Amino acid sequence: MKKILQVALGIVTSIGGFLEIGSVTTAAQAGASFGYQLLWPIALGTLCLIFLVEMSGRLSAVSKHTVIAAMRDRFGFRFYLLVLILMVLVSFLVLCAEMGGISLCLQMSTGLGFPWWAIPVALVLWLLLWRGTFSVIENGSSLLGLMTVAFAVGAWKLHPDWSSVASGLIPTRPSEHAAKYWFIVVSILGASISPYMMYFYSSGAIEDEWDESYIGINRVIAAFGMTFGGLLSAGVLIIATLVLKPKGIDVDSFQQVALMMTIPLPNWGFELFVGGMAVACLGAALEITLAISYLFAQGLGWNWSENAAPDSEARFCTVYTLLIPIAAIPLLLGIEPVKITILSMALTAAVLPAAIIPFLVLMNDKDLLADHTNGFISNTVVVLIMLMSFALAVVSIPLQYFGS
Amino acid sequence: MTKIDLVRDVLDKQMLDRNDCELGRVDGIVIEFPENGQPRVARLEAGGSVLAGRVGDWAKKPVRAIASKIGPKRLSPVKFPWEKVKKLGRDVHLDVDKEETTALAWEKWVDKNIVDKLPGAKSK
Repeated sequence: MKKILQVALGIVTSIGGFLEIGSVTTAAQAGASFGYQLLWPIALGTLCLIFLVEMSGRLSAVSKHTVIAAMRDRFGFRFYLLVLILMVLVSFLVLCAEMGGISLCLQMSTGLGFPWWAIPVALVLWLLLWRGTFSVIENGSSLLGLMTVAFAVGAWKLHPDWSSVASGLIPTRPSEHAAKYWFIVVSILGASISPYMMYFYSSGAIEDEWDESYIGINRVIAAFGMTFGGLLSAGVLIIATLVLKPKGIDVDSFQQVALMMTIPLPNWGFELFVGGMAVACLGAALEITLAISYLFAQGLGWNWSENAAPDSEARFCTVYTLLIPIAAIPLLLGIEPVKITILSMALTAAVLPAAIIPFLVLMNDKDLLADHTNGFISNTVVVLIMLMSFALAVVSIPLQYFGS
Repeated sequence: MTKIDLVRDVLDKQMLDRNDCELGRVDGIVIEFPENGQPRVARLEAGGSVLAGRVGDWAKKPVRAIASKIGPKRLSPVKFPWEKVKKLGRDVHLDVDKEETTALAWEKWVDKNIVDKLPGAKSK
């Protein structure tokens, strides 16, 4: 039973990948512009994440070392430093975007502009980390995050033509607006396959004291958690296809996505969206902030644990204590969260190879994984994800310029 | 006789004290060349200055400048004689107690100057 409850770790990880401001806005944009035709990148992202997250959990369960620690062990300080710098820069933007997402939800429900919410949001985020334990964060975010199931309910209530939905799972070339099409593809993959998810999940497995007996359940958690996120993200795309596309409305703001929810769910759609997204963005913000703190602490060999009092993990806590207020600054200056989001997704795609390459080496290391190294299928998948990540890295920045 | 590959099995590994407390990572390994004798592994080192040296000579100066202005102001690296290495595995286990070393100088400085100044730091 205790092991089954660990599915919360899968759900919270998945929320950070699929149900945060970036993924939801992009999914709505995809549906509004191209209909079901862009369901395949969501399915592809989900599949890649199932494999990567499963590997992160397996590495932790068997070796008792996280992906970050093993990366420093095997690739040395210089590679670690490169990853650290890239991830801190990119994750900082994503954190900023998520804090912006929460602030926008508060703006939509109160009418008070989002810059006013930057400081309260930063304070709540910090307090949750400062006072909360890992299980509070994990279980709280995943339980409250279930509000986002509204996306699936909404899609269901609009009675989509399921055979057209299914045809969207097969990649096709766009008939027009190719730059925009590929830009959205890269954004969906960049918004979902985020390195911080792997760092968070593998650290979470250590926080929750996994051992080899978790190898089986880890597969279930990874598959279930990522599918949960992927399906809800697909739900947003389906709603956008049926509500916005026929009217020719292009999504360029988060508020439009909220209003779109009132068509399938007239009574509660708006409230559910605002509440669900506030929780999901908060979950994502917690996940990213912790991932960056883990990245410093594990790579530099500090003592770390979200479960211990701040006093006994001083450096670990100082990382997030400094990070959160800095991330609030762009919001205080009134920079649109959606603009930050779009930039952050393209940059996540650009730095992806640095996060993926280590997997191929680490997951085949017998010193770390003994008999649980990758098999042929997992290795083939990692190679394919790696090749894809190179392609994404090369095209992401030019597409950002031409496609957005 | 066990063979130890210093770069693969020791460098960059997590160092732990007698009670499995984290003491940083093996940032550097020092090999001594005595006048009349064979080179031998003298000690393991950890600290920002050692890491800066691994990035490049250019990085040493700014790191020293920062370290002399903020923090515990310890400019020399933390040193553990090779004899203190108790066990080598996925981590480097040392026969020392964290309190006997300066490995936690930054941890203590941050604790005293930042963390303890904020409310609710003592418990969870």
